[in-house]
Amino acid sequence: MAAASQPTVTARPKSGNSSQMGALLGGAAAIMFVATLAGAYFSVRNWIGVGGDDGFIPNGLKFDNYAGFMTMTSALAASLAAEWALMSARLNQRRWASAGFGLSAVFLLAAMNIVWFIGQRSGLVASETPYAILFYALLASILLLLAIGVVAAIVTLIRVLGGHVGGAELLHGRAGNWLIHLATLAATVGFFLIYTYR
Amino acid sequence: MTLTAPTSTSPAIDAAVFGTSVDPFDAVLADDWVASVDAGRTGQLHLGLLSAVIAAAAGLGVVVHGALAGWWDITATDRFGLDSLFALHQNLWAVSIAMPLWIAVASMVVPRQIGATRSAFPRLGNLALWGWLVGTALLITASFVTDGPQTIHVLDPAAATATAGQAPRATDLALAAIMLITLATLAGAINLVATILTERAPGTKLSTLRPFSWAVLVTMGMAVVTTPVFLAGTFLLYLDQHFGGQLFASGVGAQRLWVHAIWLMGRPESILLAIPAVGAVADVIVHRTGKTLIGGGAANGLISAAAATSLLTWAGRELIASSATPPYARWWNAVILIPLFLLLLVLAGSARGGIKPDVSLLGALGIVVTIVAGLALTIAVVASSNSDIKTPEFSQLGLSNLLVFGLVLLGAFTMVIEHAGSVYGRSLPKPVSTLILLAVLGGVLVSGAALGAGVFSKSTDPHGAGAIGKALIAGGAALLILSLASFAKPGLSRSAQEGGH
Repeated sequence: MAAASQPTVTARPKSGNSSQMGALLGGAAAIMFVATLAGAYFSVRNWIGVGGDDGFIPNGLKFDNYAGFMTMTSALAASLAAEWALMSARLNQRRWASAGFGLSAVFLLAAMNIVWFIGQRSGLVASETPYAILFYALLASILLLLAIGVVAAIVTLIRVLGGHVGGAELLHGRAGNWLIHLATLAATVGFFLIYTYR
Repeated sequence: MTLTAPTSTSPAIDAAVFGTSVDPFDAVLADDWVASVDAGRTGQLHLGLLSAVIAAAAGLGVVVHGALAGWWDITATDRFGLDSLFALHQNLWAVSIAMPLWIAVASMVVPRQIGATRSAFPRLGNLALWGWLVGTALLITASFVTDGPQTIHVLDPAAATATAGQAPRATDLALAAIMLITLATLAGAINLVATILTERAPGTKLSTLRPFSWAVLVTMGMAVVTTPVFLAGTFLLYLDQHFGGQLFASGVGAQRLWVHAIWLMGRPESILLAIPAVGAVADVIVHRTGKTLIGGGAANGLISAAAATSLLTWAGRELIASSATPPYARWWNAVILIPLFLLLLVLAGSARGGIKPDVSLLGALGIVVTIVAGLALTIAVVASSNSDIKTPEFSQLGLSNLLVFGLVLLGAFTMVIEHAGSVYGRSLPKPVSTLILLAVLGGVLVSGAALGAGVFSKSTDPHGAGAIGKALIAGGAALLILSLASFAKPGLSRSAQEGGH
């Protein structure tokens, strides 16, 4: 009786999807954050100059390219896995979609592990050179963005399992993927700054 | 098990304080305010707390300017040095008040203007409030740690570097607080932009938005991309300070980068803060005339142009800056003001004839007068040669008092007075709102003009007038707090909210 007399509640039509918009705006902010660190890196590098005893890169500092390359590769793999997962979700293949987002989270966790390893083994002392401050600031930012990517992948995985993402309902999945791609972008920028443009 | 809300031992006290029908803990505190997902309610709480911070910061300004004018001697009588108080005064205005005030007012007004039933990210709106509150508390606390931040302005890298490692606790705490407030500001800006873009009522197009909502969209959109720049710079400064690093040492490029790109007054946000104030004027004119502005969307276009030129100016200054002092920087500053000037012409044309007088018109007029005063000072600074300017630091202080903080205060208070009826359920009494606006306008003009006069004359001591101006602003803010407090009785607040929606 009571249930029958209740008016039907329907969601009011909105002008857009807030999850996607939030991911876009947050992504734009994160890109500006990383871009500022990259700008500071180039600015200080050009100001001090490369080479010599008082050059931008401390004398004797050697990085193994392997760790940096693996960070970037792991992050790229996470992005690819996330896109594959979203494609599977579009085809209503929930099992493959879940596997893809799970794999994406694992790849991002691996990338976080390598970034932590790079920071621990660098041997740089923050108080000694401007490079050290920029180096650790970049690593901390990449670590944070990778962590956001992990959370996004896990939340999207839960949404897939719960049936909130799949078929025509892909907006939340797309929003999560943008955050994962953002983490990949940050890892790639970090790789080029630390290993390529030395 | 049944949980009961805490009450006092006296039913009479309960009835007097909370009203007989309101559960004091669960309803009033927890659901309605602390964890409220209602953007309007969060905005009300934010505004009330901000008004208190404004009154405190202005009061601090009276103390600092009074000491600089020689009215009293702080260093001899107070364990907290003048430098610490000056740093706190500046940081409160620049970081804790300017942008958060717009976020608070916009959270109350914009959802009503666009017909939104909720904000896009209510929890992000809560974060904007509580992050700001904790950050501001930490910022104030930092001034009480040992001797307080050891810099005139903790965000000035030259001063910060000179004392790196000497006062790490206070400076660390101040920088951490500033980062937290900046993060809260970013959260509020993202929430507002997403709300305007995704939560509009069906049929409400972006092109038909009210001028204030459009100005908020443009300003917060720009803030989303410029605030992280400041955040990243402050993060670098924090690391540099904490570890006693060399990044901001004299002769390192980061210092130049800071001054031109990261430092608060080097970013477009300093001018962006004026844009919602212009939107507020346009809104008042539209409301009071009952007509659209002349030129259709011209006003919205000019608001966007002002924001775009401020961003271009930012980038342009970086591109042309070949030395520590970019020679064309001041001309670029003048370019930003062209769209604002054209906008004033549009508004003046729209306001001709048939306008219903009201208190909010006084606020709109005050904003226009302040912009004209700021324009005059800018043109005077730009047109003069460097040798004419006796005390360059006053040009910055005068302009920021007029075009940044002055416009923020006047614009925000005008919008609160204009929309109090729909937000709080009843309007402020006319004599009170007139007094609030007159006090703030007088304070802004007196302190701005005094500091501006100090630009060209070494003999002029602007600090005495600055102290009087700040006292007027403190009075206006205190009056606003008292007025808002009278609305905050639980029963009234509840019914006002229900009526507002």
